[in-house]
Amino acid sequence: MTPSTEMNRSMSKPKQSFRSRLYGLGNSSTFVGYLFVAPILILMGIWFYYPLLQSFIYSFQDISFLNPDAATFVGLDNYIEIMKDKDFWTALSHSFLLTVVAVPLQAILALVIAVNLNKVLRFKGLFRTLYYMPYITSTIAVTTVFMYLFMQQEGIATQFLTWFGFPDVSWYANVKYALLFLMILTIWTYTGFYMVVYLGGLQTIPNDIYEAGLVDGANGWQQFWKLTVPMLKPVTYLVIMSGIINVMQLFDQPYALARNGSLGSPAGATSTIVTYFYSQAFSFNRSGYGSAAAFIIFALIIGLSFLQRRFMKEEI
Amino acid sequence: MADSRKAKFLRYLLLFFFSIFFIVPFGYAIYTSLLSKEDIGHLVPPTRFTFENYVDIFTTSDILIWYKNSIIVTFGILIGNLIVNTTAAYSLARLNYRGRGVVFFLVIGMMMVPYQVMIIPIFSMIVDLKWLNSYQGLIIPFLFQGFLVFLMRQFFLTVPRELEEAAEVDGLNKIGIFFRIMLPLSKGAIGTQIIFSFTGTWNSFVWPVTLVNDSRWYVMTVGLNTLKNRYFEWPNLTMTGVVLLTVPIIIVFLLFQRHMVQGIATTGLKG
Repeated sequence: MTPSTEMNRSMSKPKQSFRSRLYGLGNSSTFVGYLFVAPILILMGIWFYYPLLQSFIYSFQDISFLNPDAATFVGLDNYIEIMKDKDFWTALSHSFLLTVVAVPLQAILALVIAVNLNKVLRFKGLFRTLYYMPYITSTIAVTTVFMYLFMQQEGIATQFLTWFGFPDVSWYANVKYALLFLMILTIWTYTGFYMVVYLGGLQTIPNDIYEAGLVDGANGWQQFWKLTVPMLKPVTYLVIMSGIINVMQLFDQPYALARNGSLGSPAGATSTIVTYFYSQAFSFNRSGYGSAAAFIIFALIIGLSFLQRRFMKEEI
Repeated sequence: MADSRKAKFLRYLLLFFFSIFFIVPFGYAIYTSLLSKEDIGHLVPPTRFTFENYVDIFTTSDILIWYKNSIIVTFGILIGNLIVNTTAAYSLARLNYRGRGVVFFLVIGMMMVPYQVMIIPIFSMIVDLKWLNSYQGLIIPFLFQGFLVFLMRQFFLTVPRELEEAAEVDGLNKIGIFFRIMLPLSKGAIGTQIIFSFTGTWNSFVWPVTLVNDSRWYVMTVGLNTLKNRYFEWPNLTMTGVVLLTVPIIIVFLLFQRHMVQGIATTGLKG
């Protein structure tokens, strides 16, 4: 595009009108390019990269919102203290457990529903909308409803689950069952979303592959395992990756179910790495320590995504 | 290939079975919101339904203010997003200039960083600016979205170059091409942007709960959370709140559903 700009410039000798000079400016890739990224560059600088840097500095300081001027440099002390904090490891184990249980389960359910929904002709749109709705519903609304469903005596879900030997307790307030409650909540929220993602993936698989499979005498199950699952591998990668990120970031649900109690109620049973971070930063006003925790979450997410990429590549 | 009758039946059975789990929570919320205090916890015929909870909640709580706040914040961010993301995406997809690669890297890089890393300094900035409990505080830090820039850029890349060349011959400059050629073509992609931005802001909780501490500045999600804590013994009231918070998002979703499904199909995932 530079030659044309040069041409415009060389033509724009004294006699050129204001209008055509404006036109020329509007035709310069450089000018329009910078003009159009200027808003995001400014906003990003102020509200993303500056805070990112600030947070990184905080993480090596002993600093609080209450008295930010009294900050002192403490080196790696915050990071070391977190590593020694039992509550951090509890929170991390909860996040890890949630990830290990909820992410594969929601991926499997999503795949099973998608494969079946892809084959039916009638009510397809209706089913898809219905399965998708939990994902677009506010996490606070969903948690509120589930708390009533899983309430002692009155909860429909609690009563239903007593048939399978579960006790008649308020799940969200019970130290033993609160985390399981969070898992159910998570799976319910995300399954429909990943189902739609799988549905998109299924539509990219060419039909003749199945026809070739049919000629070779593969039945439905064999087709599913030998053709569908391997063909969907890139989609599964995305579903697992995004699932890990979502579940590692779980915060609204434990916040809502704690009601007026402290984050992670009952008795820390629903603490996650994010509730741990949040209570350090905003309940105990420890900006430096909280920032260090935030960078640990960041590192964990990056680390897990690399690990998962490795793992998925080695398979097959 | 066609299913046998039996296979077809089993598929519908399975889909229907799963649907139950997805319908029950929604059904419970709507049903309970229509119950009078005496009927809570009982199965009653629709003739006993009442709207008194809706009247109650509008007259006794600040929900109207929360609605207004949610609407202002959601639309403020939506408009900002559409302008900032779309112009940036066009610039990154179609214009050549020095430093474009760096800008692209900075935009994409945002998708990898969790919000926890930024929330402490942003909270401090908002406090310093005296923007706690204000629309500015709830809107301005959120006017851009790396993921949505990426989504729009992917779309602009698919527009054939010939269209631009033809437009240039007709005397349109780069800005003209953006407004007259690119924007009219990107209705679908903009629809995707609208639904992601709208649902994301309307449902957002951690930011408004952090940046506001005065109940008159609550948005709907934060308001519902306090309602639930205060009236936990009255499921009819809290479920009314749930329905009121959820209905707008369902309407927007049904209007733009097509675009969301397309968005997922073209870009993979929301990060």
